[in-house]
This record gives sequence, C-alpha cells and structure tokens, in this order.
Amino acid sequence: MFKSVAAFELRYQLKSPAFWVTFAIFLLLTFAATASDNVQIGSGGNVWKNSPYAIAQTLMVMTVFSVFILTAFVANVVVRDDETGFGPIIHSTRLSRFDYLFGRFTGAFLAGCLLFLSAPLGMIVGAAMPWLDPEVLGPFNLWHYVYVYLLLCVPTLFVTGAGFFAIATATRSMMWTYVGVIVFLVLYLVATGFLARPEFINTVALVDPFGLGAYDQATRYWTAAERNTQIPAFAGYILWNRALWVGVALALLGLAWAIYSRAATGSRMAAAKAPDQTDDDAPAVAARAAATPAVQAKPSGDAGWSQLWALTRFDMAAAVRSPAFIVLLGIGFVNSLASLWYADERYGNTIHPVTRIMIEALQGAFTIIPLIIAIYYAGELVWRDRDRRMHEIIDSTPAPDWAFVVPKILSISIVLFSTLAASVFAAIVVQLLKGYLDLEVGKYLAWYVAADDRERGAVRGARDLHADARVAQVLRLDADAAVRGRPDNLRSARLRAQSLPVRGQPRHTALRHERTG
Amino acid sequence: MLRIDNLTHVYPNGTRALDAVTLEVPRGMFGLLGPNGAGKSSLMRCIATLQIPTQGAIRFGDLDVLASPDVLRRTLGYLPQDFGVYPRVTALDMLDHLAVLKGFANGKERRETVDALLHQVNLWEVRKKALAGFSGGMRQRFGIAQALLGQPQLIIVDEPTAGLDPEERNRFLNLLAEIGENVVVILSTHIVEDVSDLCPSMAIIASGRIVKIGAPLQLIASMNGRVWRKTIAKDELGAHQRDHEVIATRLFGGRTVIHVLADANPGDGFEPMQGGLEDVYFSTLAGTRRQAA
Repeated sequence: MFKSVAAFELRYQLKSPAFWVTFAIFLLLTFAATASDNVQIGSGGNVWKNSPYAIAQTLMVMTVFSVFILTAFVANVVVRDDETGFGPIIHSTRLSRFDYLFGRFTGAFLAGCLLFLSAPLGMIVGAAMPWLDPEVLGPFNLWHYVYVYLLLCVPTLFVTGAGFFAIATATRSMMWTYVGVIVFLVLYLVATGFLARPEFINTVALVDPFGLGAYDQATRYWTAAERNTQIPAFAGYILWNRALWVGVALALLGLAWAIYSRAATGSRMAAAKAPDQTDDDAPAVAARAAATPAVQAKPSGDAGWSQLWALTRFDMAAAVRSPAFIVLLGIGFVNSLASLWYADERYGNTIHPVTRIMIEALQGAFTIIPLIIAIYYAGELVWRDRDRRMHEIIDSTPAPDWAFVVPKILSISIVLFSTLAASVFAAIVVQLLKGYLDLEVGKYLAWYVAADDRERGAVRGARDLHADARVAQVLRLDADAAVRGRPDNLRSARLRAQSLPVRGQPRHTALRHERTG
Repeated sequence: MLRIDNLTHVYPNGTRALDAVTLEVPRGMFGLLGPNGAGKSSLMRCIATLQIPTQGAIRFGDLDVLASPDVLRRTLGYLPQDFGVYPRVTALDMLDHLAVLKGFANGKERRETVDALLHQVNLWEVRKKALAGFSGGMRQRFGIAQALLGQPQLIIVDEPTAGLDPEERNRFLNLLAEIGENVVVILSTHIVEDVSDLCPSMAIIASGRIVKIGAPLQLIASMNGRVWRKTIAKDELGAHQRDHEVIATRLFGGRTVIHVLADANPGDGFEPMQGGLEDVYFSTLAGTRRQAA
C-alpha cells in the first residue's frame, strides 16, 4: 500500500501547474546564471562556468530557493485533506498512519527531487550555448553534476522537506508552515551573518543545513585550477554535515509520525463544525418576524467614503488579526533591536545613536519584514474569497469594481505604514535607553517611513499589487487556488485587467527579495 | 448488529452534540431523522471512527469500535455530508486510489471492482473527467461508489440527498436500495421522504437525544385518528396555535393549512386526515420543544 500511496502522490504533484512553473523558473535561473554574465547565483569567482565549484555553488544556493516549493509539496500532503474536505473519506479507510504519512511524504519528496533536476539541467544546457567564450568553460563532465545533485542537494531537500512536513503535520495549516519557513530563513540568515568569522568555520561546516558551509570549508584554500577540475571527496565535514542532517530529518519525520492523530482531526475543525444550538422558541421568532417591516430600507447604492473606510478596515483586520503578522513583526523586532543596540559602535568606537545611524540600522535589519508582509497579504487579500469559496457571493453583490481594488491597496499601505512606525518606536526606545534625547522624529518620518512607505506601499501598491499577488501565488504555490482562479467570471477578469501594471514592466519582486535577503 | 450505548460527545466549545444516545441498529436500511444541528453528523462521525466521543461505547457485532477502529475501517463505507475533491484528479483515478486504500492489492481485481462500480453509479461515461467539474448529483454518486468499495458490512451515508434535484434524488435512493439487506446501512437525513421511501426502521434525533425509535409504518399507525386538518387564513394562525396542538403548518395554494394533534375531534371546522411520517416527525419535534420550554 505504501508504494501505491507514494505513486499516487507523485502523479498528483506532477499534475500540478506549480510543479511545471517552478521547473521552468529553476531551469531558466540556472540557465541564465550559466549562459549570461548578468545573472549570478552563488559567489561565482574566477572559475569556469561549468567547473565543479560553480556547479556546487549554484545548485546549493538553488536548494535555499527550493525551500518554498518543497514546503508547498510536503505541506500539501497533510493539509490537503482538511482543506478540500475529502479527509473523512480517506480517514475511514484502512490506510495506516505510517502509509498515509510516509507514503505521501515519499511521493511529494520524490516530486521535489524531480523538480530540482531542472537546476542542473539548466546549467548543462546553459554551458552548451554557442555564444559563450570558450575561455570560461571547461570540458563537460556529467559526474560533477551527479555528485552535487545526489550528495549535496538531495540530502538538503530531504532535510527541509522533512522539517516543514513535521511543522505542517503539527499545525495542519499552510499559513503556519510558511511562517515556519520564514522564521527558519531569517534565523538562517542571522546565524550565517553572526558566524561569518574565521574562528567559526568548522562549526558552520557542520551545522549549515544547506551544506554550503561544509563545501566552503573543504575548498577554502583551493586554487582556481583546483576549483575548476576537482570535487572534494565525500568525507570529512561534508560527510559529517550530510550525515548529521539526514539524521535530524529522520528524527523530524519520527516526530511528525508521533504528533499526527487521525481520529478527531483537530479539535479546531470539530469545534468549527459543531452545530450552533440556539433553539429559538417559535412564538418569539414569529413575534420578531411580525415586528420586522415588510419592506426593508433600500440600499442607496452610491458607494461613499464610509463604505470605502469600512471595506478598508475589513481588509486591514485580515492582516492585523492573523498570527502570522504578529510573528513576522516579532522576528523583525528581535532582528532590528539587535542591530539598533549595536548601531552606535563603529570600528571599536562608540558614537552617538543619532537618528541617521538608527535609520541606517533599521534599513539594514527591518525593511525585509514589511516586504514579506506586503507579498504575503497582497496574495492573501486577492485570493481570500476564492480560497474560502466565498467568491460567488461576493462577486454577485452590486459593489462597484473599485471596491475590490482600492480598499486592498489602502489597507496594505496602512498596515505597512504601521509596521514601519512601530519599528521607529523601537529605535526611539533604544535611543532613550542610551540616554540620547535629540530624537528628530521629523527625520524618521521624512527619510525612513515616508521614503519607504512611498517605495513599498501607496504608490507601488497600486502598480505592483497584482505583481506581488502573482509572486505571492508562486511563492505560496497555492496551485489549487490558481486553478480555481480561471478567469471564468467577468469580475475577476476585470479585476485583473485593472490591477495590471500601469507603466512599464512590473519589477521582478521575487528576485529583488532574494537579493535583499 | 450495531449497538450504541450511552454515547455522549461534548465539543471543546461546550456544545453538547450528543447526549447519552443509546441505539440498536439492525441489518438493513436504518433512517436517522433529525433537524439541522440535532447531532446527526456528530453521531455519524463517531460511528465512522473519525471522532472519539467524550464517553460511551459503540459495538459492531462483537467488535468494540472505539478500542479497535482499524478493524471497523476494513468493513466500513462512509459518505460524509459534505466533501470536497482534489483538483485535477479524474473520477477513475480517485476511485482506483481509494480502492487501494481500502485494501485491494490485486491490480486486476481492483480494476474490475472500480469499473463495475462506475457502471453501477452511471459514471462510466465521465470516468476520465475531473471530479472537480462534476455536478452535485454526480459527485454524490461518486461518493456512494467509493462507500460501496470492498463490500462493506457497515455503510454510513450522511445527508446524501440534500441539494439534489428530484430526479438525481430518485437515482440516488435507487442506488441505496440496491445495497442489500445483509449489511447495516445508516442513512442520516433531515428529509422525511428519504426515510419513508427506504427504511424499514428508523429513529428521530433532536438536540443530541434519540426521541423516538420504531418502524415508520408502526409509527404512522400510532397516529391513526389523531391528526386533524384545517385550512385557515394567515392571521388566524396565532389563535389556533394558542388553542390547539399545532404540529405542522404549510401553505397550499396561498392558503395556510394546519395539522393539529388531538385524541378527539376538536370541532371548529377541523376534518380528520391520515397522518404521514411527516406528522410523526413534526409532532415528535413539537413534543421535544415543549418539554425543553
């Protein structure tokens, strides 16, 4: 049974548009990195474009990107049944917990591995392009690709897959799983930043879950000629690192198995389904019905400011009340408080924590957070109605089309503005704690909040909401919603047309985010 | 065959969905009738091993269902009240996959079973179409096909006809009627005709309690000579509700027709009538409401 569950899962994932879209994106990325000088993935350096060193660098960085898609696959495995409502049928069969969880995980993981084949494939094709200078290429050697793919990348896919599978099993929620991904990536970036010193090189070699540190440690003192022709032996820190993380992954899978329970699929769900037992007694209902005037007030029909404000508030609440927002904000704070606190240290000297310095620190440490919030909520707001199967009710209301676009842009802008304002508050608290009183609040507003908000919020929102939503869609890989989102009704088609970028190409936000990170 | 003993379920939010339910379900079609929110689905989910009740026992034959749910699942067919489907999966693929999950290891055997069922529920022509594009009736027929996989001894169908048009409903009830008399089929519904059309025995559930058990014919017979009908104007309804035990009001051609329960002719323009299962149902519900008040 294990085999056929895994096979069904693999076939299912291969049918999803997300698989093929990401396959194409990965292929293009590594192709471009190899066949063009303008795109670079990993550190590159003075080596052949198809040298083992370049292959390892590029593909291992791609495994970092692949976390999102892999999470989409493995989390879908457990969340799908709850979301579609097909769960009860599956759970009332004799399928065992082991086969259900691990059969499906295996299928989804294999789909992830197949998908990741696109990355080496893109490099191989890229290196064969006729316009490349033969000086920057070495001889083709398939073994180098196989080595990097099988020994360096697949274990990483296994680790991230298992980890986020465990989170999805515990939370039964796509959103919390993605919060987990973001927490993980932020922690990873913070940790690599912190440990980027020579004395930690062996530690990093061992604990970097992506294996980048281990590879770096093994090839650190290699000459360009060595990097062009040799791959490090699968021994030492590389071996230990891979072994350690595969072990961790197995432990996480065990944890997922222990956490998962199939009967009473979450009290959360049961409670939501619990019937409402407010039995109105008949006479009271009749009395109330009699008291209601037969003709209700006609809606006046003109959408005014109060409606705009009400809709904006409604959309804002969706962002602010969600736990993800609070968690993201929390991470942003921890990250920026640390840099704010040490911002007044320069080359061993202590300087005044003037506002200019604080702004610099915030721009380095905090601005990624509003960006993530913007991406996530743009997608969430645009797709919410469809995801909850409310769109047919909403679309049939007589509300004008602006009511579907303007409040969303406004509410995202207000949320972003508040996040930035909150980070300014943190900076001011740090300044006060350090006994620095010349706060220059005006400067915060002019150079940080306004500048950033103009950049990320109001103006860009109008132009890029659609692009962001698309990117968010790709990042969340909510392929099911994408399919449901066929332009089969007029309103969504119109909404789409309206929110298309008004001038120029939408900037490729996904790439920019990765660079910022 | 299926014995439910003192089953109680309280949801975390304090809702008492089932309150000491005790029920003996024989082989054959058993109707569980009750209004929305009466606890039907909670009871079905408990029997289908999807929910562990707060207390009580469920036995199927000699099997303790709560202690060994895995064993029950081998002979269980379950059609939930509302199920979604995975996008992009065809009826054939999904049914085949479910057949695997229900224990058909042999490929040839499985294909034959799946093909036979698809023919039986009249989905053979559309077997290669995506489930997500099916109409409500087609989806329900797929639902019953999967519930019948592997010749289950216990079949639970939870409000299967809600939302079906009369033709689809007939088709569906015919499918149910074919299942045979040697297995236990529990049909939970709020539609009285479903039960009167199909079930030799039934129970009525309200507010989490079983309030009536019996055979539909017997229950109808118990109302003989006690149901009275009168056609009245709309504004007379209040007065009649005060003076008589009104069990049902309905509109017929724009006029209000009321049914009242009385041991003797209440006079006042009432005429005697042969009560149906619906009158049993409504008078039972009216009785429970009065008790609660």
